[in-house]
Amino acid sequence: MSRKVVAVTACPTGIAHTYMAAEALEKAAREKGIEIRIETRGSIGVENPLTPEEIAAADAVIVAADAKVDTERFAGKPLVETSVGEAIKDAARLLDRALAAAAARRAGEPGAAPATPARARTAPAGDYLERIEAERAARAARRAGPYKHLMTGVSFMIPFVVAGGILIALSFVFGIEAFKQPGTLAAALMEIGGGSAFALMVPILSGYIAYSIADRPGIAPGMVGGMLASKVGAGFLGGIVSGFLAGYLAAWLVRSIRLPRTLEGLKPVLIVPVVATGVTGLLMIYVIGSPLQAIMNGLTGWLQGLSGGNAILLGLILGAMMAFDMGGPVNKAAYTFATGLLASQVYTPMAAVMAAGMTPPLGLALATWLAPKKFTPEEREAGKAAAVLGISFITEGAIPFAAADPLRVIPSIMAGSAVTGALSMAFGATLRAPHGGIFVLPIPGVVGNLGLYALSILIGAVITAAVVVVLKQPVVRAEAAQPEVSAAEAM
Amino acid sequence: METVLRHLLDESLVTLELEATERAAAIRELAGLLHRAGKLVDVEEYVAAVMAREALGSTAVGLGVAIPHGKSAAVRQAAVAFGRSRTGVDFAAPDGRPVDLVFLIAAPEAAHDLHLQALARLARRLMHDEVRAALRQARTAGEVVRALAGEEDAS
Repeated sequence: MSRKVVAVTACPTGIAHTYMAAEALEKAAREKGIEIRIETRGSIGVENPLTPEEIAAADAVIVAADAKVDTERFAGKPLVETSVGEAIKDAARLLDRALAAAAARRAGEPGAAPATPARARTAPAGDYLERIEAERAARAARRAGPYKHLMTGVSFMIPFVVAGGILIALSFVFGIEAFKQPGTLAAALMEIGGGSAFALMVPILSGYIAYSIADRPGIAPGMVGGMLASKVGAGFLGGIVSGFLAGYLAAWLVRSIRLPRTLEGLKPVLIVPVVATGVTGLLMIYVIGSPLQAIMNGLTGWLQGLSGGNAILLGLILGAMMAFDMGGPVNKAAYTFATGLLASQVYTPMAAVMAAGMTPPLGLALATWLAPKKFTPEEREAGKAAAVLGISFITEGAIPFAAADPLRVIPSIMAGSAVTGALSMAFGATLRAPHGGIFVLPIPGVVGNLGLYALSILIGAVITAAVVVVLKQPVVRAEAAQPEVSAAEAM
Repeated sequence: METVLRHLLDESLVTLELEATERAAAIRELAGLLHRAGKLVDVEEYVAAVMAREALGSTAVGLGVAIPHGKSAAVRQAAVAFGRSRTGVDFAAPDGRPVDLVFLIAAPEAAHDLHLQALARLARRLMHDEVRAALRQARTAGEVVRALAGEEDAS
């Protein structure tokens, strides 16, 4: 089996060391018979960027950098991080370390090494968590194009929403109107959460969408465009539009403006920021701001006025979407929609979405408990982990069950989630934080209508479990065949 | 490509007898070569940029090689100066060992990709034992330039 390593080299000025480290690694890899692919991040920009396939196929990852390198795309891979100097000085030892890390990882997987009985018993749950981690990383790596840009923006926005939402909720502890009294702690919390964190939410979303498209030149026009979207009342929809607009515009300007060499230096510091920001801003104000504001007003007005049948229908749809692909694009579409609405003070869809995202793993965990005969021993073990993931609002916890038996599991979890979403909407439950599962529920003020909200999650989990138990056939496979099955699935 | 590297490094930018024995002095000495060749707008500002990079960590990379470098508006034209030391230069290397081959790289703020690529290729060449051996044995500045520029595309 040929060994494969991928590496990234980077240094602050990126003139020499980036390339020396790359050369040293290539040379050492050749001598050791290791296949290597190196992405260099120097002053020329990113060269030979690693593809998700290459990363997926690699046994180990080396990051040799004195500058910041984002390692998120290597999540789940054996990773050795070091300085560029280390790679230049002793590339051979670095490769050895990377392969040792890879070997250690393999030894930790079931089926690779003869495990002791104690290990074998505990393996499935750990293995299960690892598989979910790997699946999430693989999904993130597979994201491409506009979807990836949107998700980059959303992921940078989330911490602002979490911090802002919870701090606002805390200000309500002092009474729902307490923040109106200047100088009080309630007013301070509201200023931090609402006046600052939430105010940054749409600019950050827009800025990082543009950043994902155009790299650094996208940030200024993206954030300014997002700020304008906020100001004209175009909300998160406006932020999404301004982010894509600013990003593609900045990327196009960087590519197509050609200047005499003596003026080239003005491009990144003067021309691109001014033109991209100016054009994005003018478009936001004069062209797309008002129609987007109208759409956003219509949407928020409709959502706020939503009651009865329509509210239930929206909850059903959002809930089913959350369960349909368990963290995939459909799930993320529903989630982004609900999170974005927090910026416009619409809190019911967020509640429905989180509840519906919790019930799939919770319901499956419950099912393994109610009808152990219908699940393999691994799945029964995995049920415990799924319960923990469920209360943490990590819908991906349902993936291993769904992967093993999609036609029975996916309809079941969709049914449970749809009911939960509908109930949450029907009860008018609200949620001000976009994540956190049950851990945000006890924080005062975060959830509106807490009792009925918890009830809707409970009912959804029970429905999921009931449908799964009815649909699933008892496991008839011989117990002896199990280890092979789990090894194959672990691939 | 060869012509590009020739633009970056010529005999006037090579000294086989570096006088300095310490990092800042060596950088200043080589910056002087660059300045005399008209590559710099402002030698002080350029040296400050190089020292700022050194402050982030010595650019001595082991193998007796140091590659101090600075990207600055004080650079008129991308260039490389080379100095060889008989006594060794204390470059504050992490391994504490002196260096004897010092490359000082100057890149303008708006460096051409072509130049940056040439610098990248030069840096890569230094990782090869035979190139360093040739530099240590070179008797003339011309030999240094040939060792660095020669068989460029083979690397």
